[in-house]
Amino acid sequence: MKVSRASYSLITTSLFLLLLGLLFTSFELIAVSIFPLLILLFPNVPFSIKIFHSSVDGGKHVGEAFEVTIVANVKGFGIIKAMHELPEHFELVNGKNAIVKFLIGSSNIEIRYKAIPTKRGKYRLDRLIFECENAFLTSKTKKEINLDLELEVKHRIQKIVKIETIRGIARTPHPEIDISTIGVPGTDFREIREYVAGDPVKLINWKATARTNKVMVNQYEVEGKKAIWIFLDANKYMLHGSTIKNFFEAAIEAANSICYYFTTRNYKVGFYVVGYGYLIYPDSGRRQFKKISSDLMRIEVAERVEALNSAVERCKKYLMLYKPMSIFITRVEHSKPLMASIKASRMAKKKLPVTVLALKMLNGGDGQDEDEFTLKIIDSLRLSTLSRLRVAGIDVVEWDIERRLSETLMRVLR
Amino acid sequence: MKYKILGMVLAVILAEIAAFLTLQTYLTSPFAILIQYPIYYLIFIIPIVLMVMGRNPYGLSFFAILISFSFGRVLANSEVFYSFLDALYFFKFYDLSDYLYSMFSPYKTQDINHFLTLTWLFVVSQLLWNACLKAESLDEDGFEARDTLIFQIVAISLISFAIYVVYPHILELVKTTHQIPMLFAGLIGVVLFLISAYLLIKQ
Repeated sequence: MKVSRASYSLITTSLFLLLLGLLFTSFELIAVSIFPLLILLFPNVPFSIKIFHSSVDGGKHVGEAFEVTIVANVKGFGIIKAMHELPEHFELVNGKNAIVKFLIGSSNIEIRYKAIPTKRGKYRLDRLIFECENAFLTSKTKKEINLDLELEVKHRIQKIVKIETIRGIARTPHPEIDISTIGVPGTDFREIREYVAGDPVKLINWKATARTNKVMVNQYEVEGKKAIWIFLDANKYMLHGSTIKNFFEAAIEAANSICYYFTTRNYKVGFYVVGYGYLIYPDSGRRQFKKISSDLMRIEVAERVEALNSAVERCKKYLMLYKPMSIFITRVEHSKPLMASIKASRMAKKKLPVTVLALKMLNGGDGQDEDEFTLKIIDSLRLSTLSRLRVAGIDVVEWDIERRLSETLMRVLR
Repeated sequence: MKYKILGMVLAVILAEIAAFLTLQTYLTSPFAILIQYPIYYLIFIIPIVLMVMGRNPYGLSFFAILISFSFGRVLANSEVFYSFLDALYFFKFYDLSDYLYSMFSPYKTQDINHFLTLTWLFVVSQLLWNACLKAESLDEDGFEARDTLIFQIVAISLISFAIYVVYPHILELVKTTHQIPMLFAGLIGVVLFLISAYLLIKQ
């Protein structure tokens, strides 16, 4: 039980008078010492709340404002304070999420404000807290109302518009007509080939078999295009920067947009979160995007550190099977992705394409107490890693996370 | 800052009223001959000095000063004080003992009104001061606290005044209808003391 400041002064006064009264056997002082206690014992009138309306409009994406409106009727007597609790990653932009009013009898309270979510996630905005203090500020009662308000905040997907008319030699080609080498056979005929163990009997071409005197089978084009494998670095060093803009949030935003781009074009997209050891099997289509996107909403920076090299090792069998183009989204100065990139590119006889999306923040991040010297060292480390990657033939794209993602993604996906 | 200044102004007004009432009582008390004019006018200056210093003008220390100025009446009704005079008499200070007795004995009337008024003014001042500090913190948090404070000041003044008016009558009623034995009153005092001490330790 915490004694309020007003109660403290009343108790002190009463105690002072009582002690003097007892010391000098004074009836007046003892009688008067009860007076502050009578004020202290003044009751806090119980209050009742009725919610008329509560709604949330907008705020589906990070950085997009949403408006909350709550109307309630409160009955009671005293100072009423109503507060709609917001998660820590929300920023108020207009109005207040709390209100104070002196209540006599019944009164309507309206909380209306606008806020911006600064981080992806699924948030419950259900806590409406009421606090009623009596006029003397000696006692306080608290009530909590649960509202049916929820907000799902996603990263805005950066749309990449390719300029089709420009012709040239792409460094990392992944044209939209690329067909996967494995997968479910479709109806498009490709060729007739010799039977190998394991081919289904229904695919045997009896006429060709009779003609050549060897068992021949029809081969059909498989459904789906080539595969993409994304390695998202969720190690501790990614949590650098402000709560609004940090490497990890930027990496998730980039991963989300890349997934959207490829899954909507029927590429198979596999996903691995480095640090968590969390793997999503390759698949294509909107369902796969939704799965990856909803998983990205929940992911936070990992407690343990996992090297990119061991991440590639864990995904080895899928990389060998699907032969995908690998994309590493990381801070190269910390993760040193050279070995991992080379390993990923050598998962097939023909060298597989690998792209490293290297995140950088030129000013070191808001609120970080790094001096200029430290920033220079980090920058030189990053540049040296990048040059070694380029020498090894790995495609590298740098992204200053303070700048727009779409411009960078055009370079990743060219 | 505006609400804190309002709190100080209200506290100064209440402190000056209390000081005026104390002076009236003091001039008719046995102490009047001990401390002469103009020393006792200091009690009017203290609240203003405290306000200039940015402190609560009607704090517990100033309340204690006002009580000490009114202490002649307490001593006049105090058994402990008369025991002390008896002790002086026993140790052969006959003149001093007689002089003090003749000085205090004419004021032997039990009247709580003066102390009750002082306490009421002090308690109201404390409550208003706290209300103003609360309004100040609400204002700093960006809330519109003006209307709340106005209602609060009115509520504090009216409710505490109602208790102030009713309390002596209740006390009188209790005294006349129920003769509370001194032992029982002492027990209540000790219990109140223990509860208060416990609450203060919690703070």
